[in-house]
Amino acid sequence: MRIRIAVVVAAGLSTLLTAPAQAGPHHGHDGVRYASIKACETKDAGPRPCGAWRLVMHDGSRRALPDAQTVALKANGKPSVTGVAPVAVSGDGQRLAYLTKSGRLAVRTLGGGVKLLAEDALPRVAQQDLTFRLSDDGGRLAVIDGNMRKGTRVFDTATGDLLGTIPGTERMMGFSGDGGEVLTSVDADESVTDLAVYSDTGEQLRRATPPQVVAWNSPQALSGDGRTVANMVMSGKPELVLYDMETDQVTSRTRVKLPAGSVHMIDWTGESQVTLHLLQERDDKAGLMTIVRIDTGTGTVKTRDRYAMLKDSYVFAACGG
Amino acid sequence: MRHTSVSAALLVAAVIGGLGVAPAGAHAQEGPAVARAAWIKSCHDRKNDTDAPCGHWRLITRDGGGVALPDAAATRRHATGAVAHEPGRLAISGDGRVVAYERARDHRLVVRRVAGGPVKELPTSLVPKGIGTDDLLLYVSPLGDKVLVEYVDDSGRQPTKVVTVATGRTAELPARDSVRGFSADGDEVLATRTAEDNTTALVVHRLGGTSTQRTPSQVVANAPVTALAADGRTVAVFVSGDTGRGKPPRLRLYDLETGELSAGVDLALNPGATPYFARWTADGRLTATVVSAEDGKPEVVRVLTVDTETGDVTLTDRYSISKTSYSSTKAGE
Repeated sequence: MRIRIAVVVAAGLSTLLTAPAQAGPHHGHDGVRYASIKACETKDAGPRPCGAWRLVMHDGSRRALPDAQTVALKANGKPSVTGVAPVAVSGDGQRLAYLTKSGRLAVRTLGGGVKLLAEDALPRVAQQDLTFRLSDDGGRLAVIDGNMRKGTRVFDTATGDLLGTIPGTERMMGFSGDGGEVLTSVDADESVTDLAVYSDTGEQLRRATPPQVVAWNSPQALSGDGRTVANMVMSGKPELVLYDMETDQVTSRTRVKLPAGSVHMIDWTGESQVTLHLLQERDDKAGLMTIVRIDTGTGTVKTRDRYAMLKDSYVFAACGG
Repeated sequence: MRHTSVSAALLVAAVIGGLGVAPAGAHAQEGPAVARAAWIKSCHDRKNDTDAPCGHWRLITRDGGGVALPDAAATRRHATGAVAHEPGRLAISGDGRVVAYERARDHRLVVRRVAGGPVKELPTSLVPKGIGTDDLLLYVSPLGDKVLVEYVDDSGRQPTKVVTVATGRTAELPARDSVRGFSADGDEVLATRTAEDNTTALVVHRLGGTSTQRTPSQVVANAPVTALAADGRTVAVFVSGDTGRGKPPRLRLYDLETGELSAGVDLALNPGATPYFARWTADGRLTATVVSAEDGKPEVVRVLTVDTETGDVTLTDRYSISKTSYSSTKAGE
């Protein structure tokens, strides 16, 4: 540990409040790379989450998220001890969604304020069963019930309004590149996996049973056009696959040269740009994250960022995009 | 040495006497010459608290009788020659007239007619060095004229072998493919092939050496049961029923030459009654075998003829297998 927790908290608070309001260029130095919570070893019960959330910034500095819940509370309000409360970082690293210590759903903008969402914004499930997802620009927030019983709720983070709900039986895969739609994956009849596109108001816009090469190489990401799905074939020689849900056709398979790592996240970050988070797990060493941008037309790969995760992380939540 | 060498000439001569005669109109004939299934008893080992096959393989014949096969090994062997505590390999042709198995005394693969007659030894090359009968799977063609051996040893390098019993001629299929079964006339073998991109293709191998491969849609790739028709291209695809959603199993027809897939029909079966295996008969009917197994009760086997247009099923045969059975194998499985 280079910095003591108390120092981080104090420093974090001040920086968060005084950072410039202007978001600046995508992934500027003031963006969050990821949020991490420390693992503390116990004598005989294995590692447990401890301490506050640590926000690791693009310039390598750290900030805190002092008002956020860390250890998840069970449905009865008691700490789950090993479960972690949900946190999400927007693709541009500018917004964070989390639970406050009083159990409210909050969205914080770096250098801006904190938007507290309505008290009834959260479905009544244990905190550790909740997952949050923010769109690339942080404008939309999805609240997901991991048990797939309650629907996925989509919020406007600027107003805090609930825009719509997507059936809980559909796995939320992510927002479209522009945040306007949600991609889900569905266990359909006849033992197949469908993909579906919903508007942020919860209306199903399209649904398709993709070919094997799309269905069995997760995760998938939806373009801002609301119909083109990208996924990676990683076994053998890596390929970027583009699939048009409207015509049910694989429109391209492009060989790409990638650095080491498995696909942790895939996101559309432009009309013809897909960004991958590639995570390389290393025994007894900190995981290595490499973020690359792929030109979907040419297959050209450029590294956007590369960092070693905090080695003592119990869990982490990386920004997408 | 576990295997005695037999010259090819001897084998061929012996085979012509026994198996060379093609059975005509097989399904119409009944009697002790036709086997429905074979089973072997389970014995409990008190010392180790394990169950193991014991006694002899027994054939259940079409006339309701049973015939013991003391010549068939009760347990198979590891490559080292050590006993594997699982049933000896045994398979019955789709028409129920021919049985192939590993011989009890030397674990050599042999075939004989269910009606009786001489036992034909198959080439020793079917169980090569480094392979035990524990490392292979045995299939008999619908009319019993061919035997297929697929190797499931750790190396994954042994090509599948298909032996024409009458001639001893052996064809090889790629080791990487997983065998699904013979076509209805035994001229082709249906297999699956997993690609590097996580997709699964269906491959039809003609025994002359050519093959056709196609990567089907999810519904075909996920189907647990398939059967290749005599035309070597039409695949009956049985889609699992879904008890949670109350959906019965479905049948779709897939043309491996064109990639065309029928819309499919619901089968007139309960959601939990997904067929265990299926095959096309010599006269072009599609049959599906449904088994119901409950602990401590006899296994009930229903052979159904499936109307591919409507999904209606008619019961062709029904029998049960002793509740004392350790394992069983059905004709054409």
